[in-house]
Amino acid sequence: MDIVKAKSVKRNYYLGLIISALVYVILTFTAPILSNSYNLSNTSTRLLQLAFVLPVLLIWILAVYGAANFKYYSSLIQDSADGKALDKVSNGLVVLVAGSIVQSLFATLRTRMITSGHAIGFTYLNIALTIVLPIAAFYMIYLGASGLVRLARQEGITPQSYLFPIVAFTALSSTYTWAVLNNPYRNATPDIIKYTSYFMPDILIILLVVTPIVATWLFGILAVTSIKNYQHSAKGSLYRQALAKLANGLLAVVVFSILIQFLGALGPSLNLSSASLKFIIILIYVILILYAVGYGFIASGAKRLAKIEEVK
Amino acid sequence: MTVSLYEDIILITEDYLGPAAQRFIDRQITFHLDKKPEQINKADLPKLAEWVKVSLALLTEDRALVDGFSERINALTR
Repeated sequence: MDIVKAKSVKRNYYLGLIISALVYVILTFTAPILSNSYNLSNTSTRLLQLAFVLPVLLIWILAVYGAANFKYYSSLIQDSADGKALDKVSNGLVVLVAGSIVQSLFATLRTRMITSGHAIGFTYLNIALTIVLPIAAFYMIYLGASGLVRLARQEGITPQSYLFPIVAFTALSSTYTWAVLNNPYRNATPDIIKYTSYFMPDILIILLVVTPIVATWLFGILAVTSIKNYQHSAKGSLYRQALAKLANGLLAVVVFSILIQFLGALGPSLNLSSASLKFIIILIYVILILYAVGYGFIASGAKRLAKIEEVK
Repeated sequence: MTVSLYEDIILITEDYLGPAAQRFIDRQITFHLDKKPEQINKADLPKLAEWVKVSLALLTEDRALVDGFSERINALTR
C-alpha cells in the first residue's frame, strides 16, 4: 500500500475513535441511574461516572494511536514476507482495540437493558462480545507471530523459551477456572446489580466461557513469546531497536489484557472483604495504566519502523 | 555482472536495517541514482554511500554508526 493510502486509513481510525467517544459519552450520561447500595445522589453518581469515563477515553486514545500507527507501518511493507506476518499481527491488534471499544459501548446499555427486563439477554450478549472479539484478535496475532518465527534465524529459538510462558499460562488458567467455578452466583443471582452471574449451568460456563477465554490466553502467550523470539533473532541494529519497542508494547498489551480479565473474575469469586475488593480494583487500575503505556510503546516502535520505510 | 555487488550492498545494510535493508537500498538507488536496483555498478557507489549517509542520519543520532555504514558501502569500490 502506498504512503498516501496508508495515511488515509490511519485517519479513518481516528475518525472512528472520535465517533465512538461521542457515542460513549452520550450513552453513559443519558443512562438511567439505578438505586445503589452507597445511597449516592444523582449528581454524585454522574461525577463518579465521569471519573470512570475519562480514563476509559484516555486508554482508547492511546490504544487507537498505537494500533493505527502499527497498521500504517505494516501496510507499507505488506508485500514482503515480514510485512505479511506483521500485517496479520497488526490486524489482530486492530480487532483487539475495536473489540474493547465495542465492549465498552455495549456496557453503557446495561442499566437500560436491566430496567427494561432484559438483564439475562444483556448478560449473554456481553459474554459473547467478551469472548468472540478477543479470541479472534489473539488468534490473528498468533498467526502473524507464527509467520514471524518461521522467518527468524532458528538457532536462537529453543523450546525452553516457551517453558516459562506455558507454566505461567497453566497457573493462570487453572486459578481462573477455579475462581469462575467458585463464584456462588455463577448460575443465578438474587440481585444482578450487586452480584454478576453467567445465568447458565456449570457445563455451559466451562464450554462457552472458560474454554474460549483460556484458549484466547494460550494464543496470546504463544504469540508474544514468538514475537519476542523473532525480535531477539532479527538482524539489523537499528531495526532491532525499533522492533524491541513494538514487541515490548505488544507483550504489555497481551499480558495486561489477560491479567485484567483474570482479576475481573477473581473479585466476585473469592467473596472478598471490602478492603480486599478495593485492593483488586486499584490493582486493575494500575494494570490498565500499564496496558495503555503498552500501546504507547507500540506506537513509538511502529513510528520508528515506519520511518525506516519512508526515508528516501 | 552487478547483481553480486547489489547483494553485497544488501548484506551490509542488513547489519543495520535487518529485513528493511533491501527496501531501503532499492529506494535509495531508484530515487537518487535513477536506476533499477540490480543495475548498480561500482561507479555508483560513492554517490550511494553519500545518500545512505544522509538517509541513515535521519534514523539515528549515532554518528559512528552512520559513518561506518557509509564507509563499508564505499569500500566495495575496491
